[in-house]
Amino acid sequence: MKLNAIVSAHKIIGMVATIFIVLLSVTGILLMHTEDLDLAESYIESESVLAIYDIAPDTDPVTYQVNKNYITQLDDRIYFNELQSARHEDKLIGGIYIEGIYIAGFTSSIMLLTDEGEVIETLDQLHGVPAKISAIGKSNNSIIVNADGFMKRTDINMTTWTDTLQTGVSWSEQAQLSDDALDSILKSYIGEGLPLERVILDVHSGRILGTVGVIIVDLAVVLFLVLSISGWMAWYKKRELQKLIDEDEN
Amino acid sequence: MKRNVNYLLFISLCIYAIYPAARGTYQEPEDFLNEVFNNNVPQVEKLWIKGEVRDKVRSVLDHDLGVLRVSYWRKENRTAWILEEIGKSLPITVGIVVNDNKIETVRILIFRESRGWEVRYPFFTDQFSEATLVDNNELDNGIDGISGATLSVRAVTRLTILALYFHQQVSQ
Repeated sequence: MKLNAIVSAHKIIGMVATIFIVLLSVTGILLMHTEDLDLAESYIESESVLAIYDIAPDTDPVTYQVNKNYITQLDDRIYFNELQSARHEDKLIGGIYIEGIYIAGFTSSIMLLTDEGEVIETLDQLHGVPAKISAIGKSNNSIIVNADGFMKRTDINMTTWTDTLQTGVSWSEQAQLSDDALDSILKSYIGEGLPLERVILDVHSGRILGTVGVIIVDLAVVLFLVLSISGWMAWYKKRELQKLIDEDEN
Repeated sequence: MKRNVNYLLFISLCIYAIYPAARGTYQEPEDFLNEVFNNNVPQVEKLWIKGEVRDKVRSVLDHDLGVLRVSYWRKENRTAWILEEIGKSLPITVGIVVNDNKIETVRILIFRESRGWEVRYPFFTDQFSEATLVDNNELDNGIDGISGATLSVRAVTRLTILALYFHQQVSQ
């Protein structure tokens, strides 16, 4: 291959590769400093970017009204009114209010919350909470759950659970969240659904454009290889040519 | 060519087989407590995370613990703690036993992330044995990190420091 052809090819490949080199370098540097730049904690708000990812909850919200406040579960996120309190994978089955504490019942755990929605503690089977809870209610200051068809009772300390045939239990029932509150929760859900780190990672790998993007990045990497080889070839050819010129001159 | 494709397929299958195994529940918290207390687990006790304790938690973790009360189990000078901290994006559940202000056991119980699971191995967790708390939220013995598991190592180390601090609080 002639030197001119190699140099021309090298120039063209170099110009095309520049776009990818800049893109991969910038995103690569950002990813190297994910923690310093808090990229995992920064969330995308741009609707056009969110639309690309089609981020939406997998499940419908489930809400229980508890003493004038609302406890809602949307996927694994637990909201106290419109504030996200925690992430919890168990299914929410109700909520009650006893002695100044909000008690959210889940299928195999119980979450205690303050009146500001802060999680006091989440108790599970390790703490004696029965499994397969399908309903939670209260009777006076007792917490009553229906666990696997059996009613069990405990107090606010939840140190012991006993079988009961208690009547007059006020069971927690599902409620409807207002449209405004639901919008606010959905906005919060989506806002914290897509970390900036993921978008940069997807741009870096080309995945933001799906399979096509990955192929483009693969081709770009091949271009880099060709670029380095053509650079070496041009240098070698030039050196050989210079040697011939020097020999002619001598 | 066909041989190379087969080789690549084999390597991919091996990687695929290893990754799911890396995540998961290594030991149920209940089993951990039964083991460390010889099947005679004491009554659960509570430590409230407020005031000075809350400030200390913030300084160790760089954020709040996310709960206002922590459960622990105590028998004589030993306390057992089941604590959680996020490695990169998901919580790692760690069982820690403190005996007389020294770490007795650190065990990874549940690991949910796709990377950094090497912290589960004894070559890492054994480093914490006999560690005590010194000033400035530090352990008295240096902990060697694991390449590629920096965030998990940090999370486990921070939880160990917290367990030692919590032990001091409940022993006062």
